[in-house]
Amino acid sequence: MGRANLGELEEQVLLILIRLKGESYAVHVAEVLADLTGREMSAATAFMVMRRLEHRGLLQSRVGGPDPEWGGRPRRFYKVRMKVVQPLLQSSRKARLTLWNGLEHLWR
Amino acid sequence: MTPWILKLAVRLLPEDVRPEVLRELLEQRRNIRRIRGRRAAAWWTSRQPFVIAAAADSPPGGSMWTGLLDDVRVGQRGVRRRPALAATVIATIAISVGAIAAMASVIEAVLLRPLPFPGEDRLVWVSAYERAPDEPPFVREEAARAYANPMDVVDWAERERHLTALAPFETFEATIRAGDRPLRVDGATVRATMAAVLAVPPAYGRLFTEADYATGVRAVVLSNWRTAFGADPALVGRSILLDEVPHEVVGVLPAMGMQFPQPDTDLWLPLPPPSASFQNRGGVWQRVVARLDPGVTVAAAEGDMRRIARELAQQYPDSNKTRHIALVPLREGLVGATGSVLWLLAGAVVLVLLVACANVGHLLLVSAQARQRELAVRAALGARSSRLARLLFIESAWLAAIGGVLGLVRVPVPGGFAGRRRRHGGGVASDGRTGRNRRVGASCGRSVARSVKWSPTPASDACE
Repeated sequence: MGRANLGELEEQVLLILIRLKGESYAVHVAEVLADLTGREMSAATAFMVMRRLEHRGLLQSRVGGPDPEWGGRPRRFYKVRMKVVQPLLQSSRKARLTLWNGLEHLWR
Repeated sequence: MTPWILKLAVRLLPEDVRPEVLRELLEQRRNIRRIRGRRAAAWWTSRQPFVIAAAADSPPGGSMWTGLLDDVRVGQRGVRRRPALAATVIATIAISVGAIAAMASVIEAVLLRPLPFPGEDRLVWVSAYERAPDEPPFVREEAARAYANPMDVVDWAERERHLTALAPFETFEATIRAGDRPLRVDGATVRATMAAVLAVPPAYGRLFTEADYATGVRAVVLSNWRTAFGADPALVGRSILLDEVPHEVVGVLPAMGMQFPQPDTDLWLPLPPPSASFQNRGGVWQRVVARLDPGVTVAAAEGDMRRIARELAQQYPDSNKTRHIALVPLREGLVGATGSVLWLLAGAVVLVLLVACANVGHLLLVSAQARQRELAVRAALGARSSRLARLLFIESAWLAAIGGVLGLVRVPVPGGFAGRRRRHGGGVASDGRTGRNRRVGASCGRSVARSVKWSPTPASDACE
């Protein structure tokens, strides 16, 4: 049974996957996260987070075709299940905005 | 080539994901190396075990620190449950840490710790040595301990071109009266130029001036005033009895790190220049220390002093024909051949430490084999491999910490060059506190490193 809310890292990984047309793999997610936020993430961490999200039913994985980067071995791709994820992300965003409301002086 | 560190690190993850995660990690490493260079990739690789341990051990709502205190308590119980193993490991660690800590402290005090004089690298021993052309060449260490003739020293001071100051000294023993009890002290008679050579200001009062060499003036500068006089600052200006003769205390040398020329020198008296009637150029009994001019190398100054030696040989062939001059850096003169012996001993002690490491490692591995059942039960109850590794690590850390602390008890702290150079008439005593701190840090590091090295292996075996 999964939790109803998202952790910060989980939320970031989901948003990046959505930006990457809904599907990607661990190294790519880690590198895009570093590019966009400056937060360094190991591919192992990205992999384990996506695996956990898959167990929660938020992602589904598939094994791709032979990948030349991996010496011809297949690579695992994770895809966002938008119908399940969207309400969670909306709720997460709403909670954040509510908490930030009235604290504009902190970023101005 | 697959870095072994990544191969080991992914063993902290569930078995079914290891190959995929490893390939992802290798690709990320290749990308980092291509974009940010080899060093960044190496640094990234070195951090992966911790990152992966955290990723493996972070269930929803938890972090890698979850249950840490519990593990510390369980680890302590684990140590107490196996007293024979604990005693053996602790004794091995304590002995090896003690040995290497003692060795490290000696090396630090003798070879690495800076001498307490500003511009230490400009201080040199100036030594005259006798060597006929048909005799074997002199050894620099021998020259560093050679003595000089007072008349020669006067000529050196007049003719040299590359020295800021040059100070001869002689050593003596005397009796002072501290309160109502006599006290045997070691002293040195020094020229006023000693202040310019050492460039260390007095703690109280002043050092000698040329006026102190006038007939009838009896001035004394105290070097070690804590023992005999209770570190009384009001002592300056007062009179003390030295060999039953009153002398006025004109100054006190800094208490910390400053006993020169010998480590047990208690006081200085003024060394007058040779009188006009003094004509003995044959005997040698003074030692000389000098400060080079800024920017002048020892070799350049030594070349200049050799010129003076040749001039004196022509001028006084009876006494100076076979007399040469050598300049030896102050530290080199103090340490001599002891340096290479110490490094050799340090190498031997490191080997002993490695043997002890191997022994402790084997003991822990054997013990872990006997615990496979316990670890398997823990794994069956849901403990991740990283959690088991952490528990074993904490147990080993307990052993290492206890052994490390025991190893540090009563390790002697050498006071600079004290006792080591007494025979040779040179030495500096200095405070051992810094050395102790460095040694404690190094020993703690070694103990923890040792526990890291051997503890997690059985955990991954148990999980498999």
